[in-house]
Amino acid sequence: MAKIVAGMACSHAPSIAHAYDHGMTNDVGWKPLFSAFEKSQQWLAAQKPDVLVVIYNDHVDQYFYDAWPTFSIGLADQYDIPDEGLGARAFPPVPGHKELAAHIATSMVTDGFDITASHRMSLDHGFLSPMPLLDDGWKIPVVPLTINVVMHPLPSPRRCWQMGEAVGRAIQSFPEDLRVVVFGTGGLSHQLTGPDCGRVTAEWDRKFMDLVEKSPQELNSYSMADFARLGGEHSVEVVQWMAMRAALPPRARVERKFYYPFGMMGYGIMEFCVPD
Amino acid sequence: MSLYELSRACYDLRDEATRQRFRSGPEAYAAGYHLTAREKEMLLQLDWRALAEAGVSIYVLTKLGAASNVEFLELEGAMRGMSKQEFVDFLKRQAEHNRAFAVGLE
Repeated sequence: MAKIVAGMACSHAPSIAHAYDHGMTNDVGWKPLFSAFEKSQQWLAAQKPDVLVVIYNDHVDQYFYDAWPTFSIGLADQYDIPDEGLGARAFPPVPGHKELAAHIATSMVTDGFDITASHRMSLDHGFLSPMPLLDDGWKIPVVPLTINVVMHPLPSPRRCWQMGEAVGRAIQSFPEDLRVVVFGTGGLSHQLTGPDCGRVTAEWDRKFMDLVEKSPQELNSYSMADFARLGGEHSVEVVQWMAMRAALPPRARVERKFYYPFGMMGYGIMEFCVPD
Repeated sequence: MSLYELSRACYDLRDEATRQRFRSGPEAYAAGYHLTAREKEMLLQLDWRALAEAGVSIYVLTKLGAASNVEFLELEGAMRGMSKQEFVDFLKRQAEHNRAFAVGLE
């Protein structure tokens, strides 16, 4: 049976992509973050994963207001690199794991969780800003999932936790012996519009990380409006951290925490191991 | 007021050929969408704060910014009525203040 061997939560941002693409990763301000991702790359390789299940959010690239799935999953054997306005980044298409993806989608829908399946997805910076730092060269196939954190109405944090639990059940019922690592990307605090533009709420970010580590289900009593108020309108992506944690077995433990408030974002990384 | 149309005018700039069309004739580009006079004005003047207040998502404003060769930090500074330099200085001060909360750095 497939086994979730580890989990990871990390930030995603166009700023990370920009620094990477413009050779800025050793700059004084950026080095702490990229060094942290290097450590995570080594950690990930040590998990010997067969598949990466990545829960992120689209930023009006793949989806528009014509119809925006609350939750979506890719079923393809590869995924496109989109043009987000500055030209598509120079990566080859991302390989998918069709069998696990189909199983997760079918299990979730049968389980009463109405996820939208897609045979063609482009993976924007929600996926593409951290993942090349973690799996250089796309050695490991991927199953991408998105949560809608952009177009109202948004799902509640509680619903996102339930989505994560459903993903976890689905993975663990896959009959093949796969080692799976689950990711949740997004956050932490950032506010990209309005008079508070640029604000990073570091104290709340640390509290959020503590809650994810010690009592993640407490976060189910927060609303999206709470997250927006505490961490900035655009920080509600933190529900992806929750969904990742919910997919992991309850006995999962934090192995490593990283938090670096810099520029316009509270950049965070948390690594979870799943003891036997 | 059509937030959909205004957002769409920004979103379509994901495509390079569309960006070129926009750059070579922004007025003609805007005329291709069902915009009110005020919406057209905000779009063509790159009035970032007004566009955001009108409900246009930052995630499509970045596409308008990219198509217009406006740096993201300048766009964001404009949200607070700051120049790019003022905004960069603000972010620096904030990062220094927030350093106490960092964890896991080498």
